[in-house]
Amino acid sequence: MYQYLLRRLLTSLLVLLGVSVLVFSILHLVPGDAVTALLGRQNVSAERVSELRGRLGLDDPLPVQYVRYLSRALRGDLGISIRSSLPVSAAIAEQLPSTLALACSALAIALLLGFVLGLTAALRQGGWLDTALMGLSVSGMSLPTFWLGLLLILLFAVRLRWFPSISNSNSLADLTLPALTLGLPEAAVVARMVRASLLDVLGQEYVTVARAKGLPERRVVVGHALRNALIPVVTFVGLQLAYLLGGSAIVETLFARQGIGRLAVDAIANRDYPMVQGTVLVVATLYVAINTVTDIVYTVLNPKIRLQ
Amino acid sequence: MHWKFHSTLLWVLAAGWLLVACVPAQPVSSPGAEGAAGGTLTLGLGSEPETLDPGDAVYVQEQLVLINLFDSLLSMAPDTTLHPALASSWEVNDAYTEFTFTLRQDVTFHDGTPFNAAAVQASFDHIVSDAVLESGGKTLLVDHQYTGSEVVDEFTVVVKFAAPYPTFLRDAARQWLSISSPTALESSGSDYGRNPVGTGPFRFVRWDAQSQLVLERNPDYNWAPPFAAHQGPARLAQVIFRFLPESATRLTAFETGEIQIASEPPALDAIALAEAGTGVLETFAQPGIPAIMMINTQKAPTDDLNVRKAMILALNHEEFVQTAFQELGIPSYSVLSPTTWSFDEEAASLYRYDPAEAARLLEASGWVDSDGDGLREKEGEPLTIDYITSPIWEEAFNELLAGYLTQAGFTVQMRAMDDTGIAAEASAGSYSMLYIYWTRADPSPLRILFHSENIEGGAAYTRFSDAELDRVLADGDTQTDEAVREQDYVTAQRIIMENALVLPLFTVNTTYLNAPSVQNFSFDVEGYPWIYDIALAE
Repeated sequence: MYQYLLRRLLTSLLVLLGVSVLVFSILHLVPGDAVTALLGRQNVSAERVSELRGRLGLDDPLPVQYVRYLSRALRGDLGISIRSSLPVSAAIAEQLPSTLALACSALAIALLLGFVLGLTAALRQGGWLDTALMGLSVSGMSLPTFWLGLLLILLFAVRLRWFPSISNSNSLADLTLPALTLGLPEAAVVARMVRASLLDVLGQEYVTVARAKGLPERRVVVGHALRNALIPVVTFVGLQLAYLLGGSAIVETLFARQGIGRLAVDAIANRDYPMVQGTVLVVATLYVAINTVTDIVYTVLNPKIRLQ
Repeated sequence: MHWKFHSTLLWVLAAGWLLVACVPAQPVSSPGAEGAAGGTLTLGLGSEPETLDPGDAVYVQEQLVLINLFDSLLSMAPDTTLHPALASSWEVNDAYTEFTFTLRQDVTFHDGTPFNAAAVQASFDHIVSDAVLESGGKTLLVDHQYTGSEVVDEFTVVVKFAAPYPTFLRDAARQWLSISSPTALESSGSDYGRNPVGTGPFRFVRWDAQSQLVLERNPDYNWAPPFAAHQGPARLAQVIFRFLPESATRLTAFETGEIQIASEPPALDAIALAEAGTGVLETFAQPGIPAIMMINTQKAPTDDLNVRKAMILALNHEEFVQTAFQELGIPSYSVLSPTTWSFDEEAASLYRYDPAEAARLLEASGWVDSDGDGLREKEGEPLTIDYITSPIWEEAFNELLAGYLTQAGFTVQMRAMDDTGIAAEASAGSYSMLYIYWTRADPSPLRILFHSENIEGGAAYTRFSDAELDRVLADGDTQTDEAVREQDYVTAQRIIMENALVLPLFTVNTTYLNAPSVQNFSFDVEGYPWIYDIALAE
């Protein structure tokens, strides 16, 4: 078990190191550097440009810049934003709570709705309700986020005036529409997954045995089938939470919310190297951390995996 | 391990998760609480400032906010006349290198620091210090070789330059050179851009990045410029700038009443709302250099005067502007917009839509449609325009513009890039035409865009050299005789248009969509909303 844990953590670290190298190189390979971005089309003499370049440390060889970056990052110093001259870590700390709140609420909606619908569909397999729910979930999965968001805004903000169209804070009212926008398509996926997984498990012999013992159907489903049916869902949830953290940029833009996704997108447009590196590194770290935790939870749920 | 999954337990878990997730991780007090008299005005802006340190500022969205937080030594009325502000009077030496300001004695900063000569000195010194990497104010002061400010007595200061600076008084009336609290500059250090302290009608409360900026009324404000509609504290209790990058979002938020003023709304919808009476459209034709394409005179085929003239003649300005901006656009025919000081009518009358003449000029230069595909060639080479375009700034019209040029037989190659990519291409000179506009009440930016000294490493993107043009532009920068200076710029406009260095497009129109409850809305001299005078109807 410990050996497994250790191996898992080491892989995660290697992945993170790879991410940092990748982010670092990609930004330096595209045309235009941070000084061009900073100056835009202002009229500045060549001497001033080279002075600025020196001051920002852009003259050093790339490996030197990379090592300097990494050693500072390990100490929690992600550098200074070229654009705003403020610490990157402070900017991320300001935006991260909104992204976390949005991702968690979206996931909560996805799980709550997904489980209810998936269970219902599985228990009514082949019936009209099952067909209707699964049809609905296909449409739900296919909805592009920005379109769904616009529809929700139109209905609940413009027509009914129940919720604000722009979202300022993490209060219930402000979170509802963005979380629904992000969470509904996920709920559709969760519903399909729960249904498929549960049906698979319900066909297993031990479930037949449980039924043969005369256990009530509710206990068969909840006590025996569901636990095993959960395994693929847990993996999925872990991956989805990570995805929701990184993929919330569209929803954040649509509702003009604070968030790390928008921060990253803006930073890329401005060639704000330290900001891009910082945001991508933080999201990647979260991603890897969640995946690692998922893998570990997985082994707790199913000891077989650990042994392999 | 024995887990008993109970359906109820499952629901409790899920519901709990939902609750936890929805408890505010970071309590943000809900704005719009209209406690104090005057109410809260919320404006939806398309872009967010990078900094609120006036000395470090560059962009329009920064100046728009700064005008509320800070005062300058002088103020400029909408008719471009200069008036006292923090300085009650001023004197200039004959060389335009020393400016003596006598300051008001009754002004205090928002943090209680008294305003005096030392504050002026600290503010200007801060701009040229290493604390400011690069900014609009820094460019102005450094270019004119600011040598320092001398504190003569508590309320007299002399600002000195090594180079003549005839437009300094006008620049000193704008936001980039407004005055900061020396105490705050000292104590905030590199954080000053997020903790600005000025003397303006509103003071800084909070800035949530990517969300909003909150200002509240400065109750002690009693030094409004003489041209303001009222004196004393501002009428609004609170002003909130909401950053809403999507114009559709701004429109929606306006319709739901979450914002009372939307900047740059989508034209069609804004006109519809205005016609329905649920909105009031306010527009301001910006002075300075209108939206133009700067044509590269060093790259074929636009190195040929006939080709450049044909490009201008091929554009049906009226139709172009109507299609792209509906009633909100104004065609432009010259390198300065009509509201700019020294605007020359004659330079603006040289070209009007004339496809036949465009065709004749192109044919005279050997560009003919030899294979009948509607596009012109010469010796097998297509008549290619390399159009580097920014989706952010040019989305409303770039396809349309390319369409007009294609109609005249040009092969237009559009390459979309972000600002950084464009800046890189611009300095490499690898474009046929490049978009730009520059809001300024004075024509002085012409030097930056057209003097041949700025071809390499600068912004003279037409890459055109002409001794007379260089002479008048240089003279305009330092000439102290107004009449001579005006003649300089008239000459410059004529040389630029006669040589077809630019393809003028439209006068940039600042547009705001206001709720009917917004009263006394007006624009300042450069088209920023003059929020100080605004009141909200009950």
